[in-house]
Amino acid sequence: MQPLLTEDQLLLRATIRSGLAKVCPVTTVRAVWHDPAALRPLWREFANLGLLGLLVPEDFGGLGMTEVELAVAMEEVGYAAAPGPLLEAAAIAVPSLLGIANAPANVIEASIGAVIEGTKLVTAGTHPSDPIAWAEETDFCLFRTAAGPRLLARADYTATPQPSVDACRRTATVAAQGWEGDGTAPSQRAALAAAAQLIGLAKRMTEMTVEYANVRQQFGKPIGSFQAVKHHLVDAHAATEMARPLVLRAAWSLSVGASDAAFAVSMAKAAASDAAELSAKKALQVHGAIGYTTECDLHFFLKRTWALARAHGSASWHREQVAAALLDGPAAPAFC
Amino acid sequence: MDLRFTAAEQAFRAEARAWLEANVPTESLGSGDTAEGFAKHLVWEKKLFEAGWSVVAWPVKYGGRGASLIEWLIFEEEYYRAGAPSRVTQNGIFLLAPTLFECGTEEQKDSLLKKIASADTLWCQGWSEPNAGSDLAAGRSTARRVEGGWRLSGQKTWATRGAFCDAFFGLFRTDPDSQRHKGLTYFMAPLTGEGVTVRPVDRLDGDQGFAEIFLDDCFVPDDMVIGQVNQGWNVAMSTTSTERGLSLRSPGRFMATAGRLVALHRARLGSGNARTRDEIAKAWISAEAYRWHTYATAARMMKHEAMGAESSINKIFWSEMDLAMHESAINLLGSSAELYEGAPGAEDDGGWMKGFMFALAGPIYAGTNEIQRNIVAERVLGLPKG
Repeated sequence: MQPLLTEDQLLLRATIRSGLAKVCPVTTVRAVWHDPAALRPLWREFANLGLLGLLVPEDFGGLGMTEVELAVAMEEVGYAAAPGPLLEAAAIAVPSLLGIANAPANVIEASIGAVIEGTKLVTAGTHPSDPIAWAEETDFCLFRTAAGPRLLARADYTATPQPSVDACRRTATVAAQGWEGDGTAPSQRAALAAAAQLIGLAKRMTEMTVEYANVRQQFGKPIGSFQAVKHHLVDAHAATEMARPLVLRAAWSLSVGASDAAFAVSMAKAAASDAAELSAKKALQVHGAIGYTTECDLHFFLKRTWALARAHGSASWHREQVAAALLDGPAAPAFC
Repeated sequence: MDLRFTAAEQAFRAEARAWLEANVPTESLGSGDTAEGFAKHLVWEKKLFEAGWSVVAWPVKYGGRGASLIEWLIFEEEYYRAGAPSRVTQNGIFLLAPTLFECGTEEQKDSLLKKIASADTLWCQGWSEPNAGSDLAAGRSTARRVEGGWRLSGQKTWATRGAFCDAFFGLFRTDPDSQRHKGLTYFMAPLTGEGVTVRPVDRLDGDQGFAEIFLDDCFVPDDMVIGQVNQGWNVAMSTTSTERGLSLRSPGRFMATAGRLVALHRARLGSGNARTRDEIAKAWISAEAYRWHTYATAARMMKHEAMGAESSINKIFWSEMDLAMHESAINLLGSSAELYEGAPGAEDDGGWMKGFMFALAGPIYAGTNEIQRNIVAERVLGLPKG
């Protein structure tokens, strides 16, 4: 048993952390919030950091990594509240492009190349009734259908903007001829990637709030010296630290094709959603009125959290999957 | 990263499982926190020691088998999976022994550790005093220097199983002019003999699980001091860190509780309803979270990284998880939850209600969760002291 991240994985985390801090500080998040056109140049920076080709084999120009590295990277994407359909592209669309049936190989290869180099934007959707991030602005959208994934160019589908509480998600509903969705559960990779982002969001919100509680003074001392405030932040921190191992376990389970991978992903998404929602609530409470403004950067993280906590299966939906596995079969599963 | 157990770890698990399946008593030993049950538990402890399973992670010369921390976690999973008896030796094994390993002399280790492992000497803790609970440094018990040793005076309280044990460990003020954390010394002392009176106290669950210890000029020789005189606070902290952290409550215990909760739900409610299903899932997810978190912690400790104040996060987590699981269980039992020991209609002889009451102690003992939250806030998050 080797439960820790490898040196390479730790290096990847540090590289993405510092890379995103440079190319995507909160001022950039704010810029995209107000002007979606600001995403395209940023997208090429994300591509340079390797975020889009994590799961693509090296033969196709990707990094040839696994879901463990995807989870590591997505935690950092959450930590930065990086805008754009990164989850949809890296976790769903790009890996699916390789197995696509409706396009010639050279087209696929060219589109993979363009996407992982960041010159073309791609997003992905599971069901027509679900809002899809950035579907109006991207060049392609990958659709899951009963017959497998289909890739459509922007000209071949219509997108109706459905503004999200998180303007950095630019959600739209989409219609395309013959697309009814496959009606299946959320993609496990997408749920994993969302869970990892939620861990990063939670970590960042608690860090921002600790920083604020150290400088904000009331009654002549920093508010962080009061136990009521301390305990809020400890609860957020503890929930986050305890959810992260479940995310890594789920990522590892997917990477080796473990038979209980779906169960592991559901546990991870449920725990990460709850941890991030708790962290959001505590962060807002400790920030007080300033946190209730859009001048304060916190709101980018709050709104991403509220969106992702429910996207790709809410905590209660995933807990129901766990409960079904524990209670509805002929025998309860065992831990070991 | 590879979450598969190695061939050696699997073999270790299989060996532990086979021995436990063959040897765990089929009949309940009763509560280890009563005089009668305690005696029965000692018979089990001897058996465990003789087969080499009492302290698997200790060096062989002290009665262990030199297992890794990860193997110890595996053993614990198997121990609780098998429904094996509670460890009445736990305060010696999991609280005193880590302090001896860390701060004891070679002579102390040689003379004490094996007897802890074999249940030949039974230890309880003497941390709290009537006016020193969370504020441990407010302790007023004293030790007076005499020829060849010390004379202890004062009162200790909430000593778990104190009425059945042979000896205890705790802090005494050795420098009468000192304040707070300074001037305290870590002592071991007998629970019988001149100058010691032990008074059992009935606990919330009805067992005689607690004791008060009154000391009136009780003599202890010099070799009953662990670490340096007047450095007892630092010595004690090395114990509380392990108590909160890994050793006192390993994941196996809560995985077993989650498993029993699933079995209870399946037997009583079948597929249940949305609310009960949600509670079951929450219980299982938290046990898994603690399991994987702990494996990662153990792996870091095996690389000699210190656990430090992060152990407080574990303590908060397991104690609140345990309580939530037991609350779920008694909610599932509904109106029969109140049926207690001896009631023919009681599920598991009232074990869930008793477990619920024990779980309520979790956020209090080993440093209250309020104190733990302060520690995490100040030492992990970096918030200012109040």
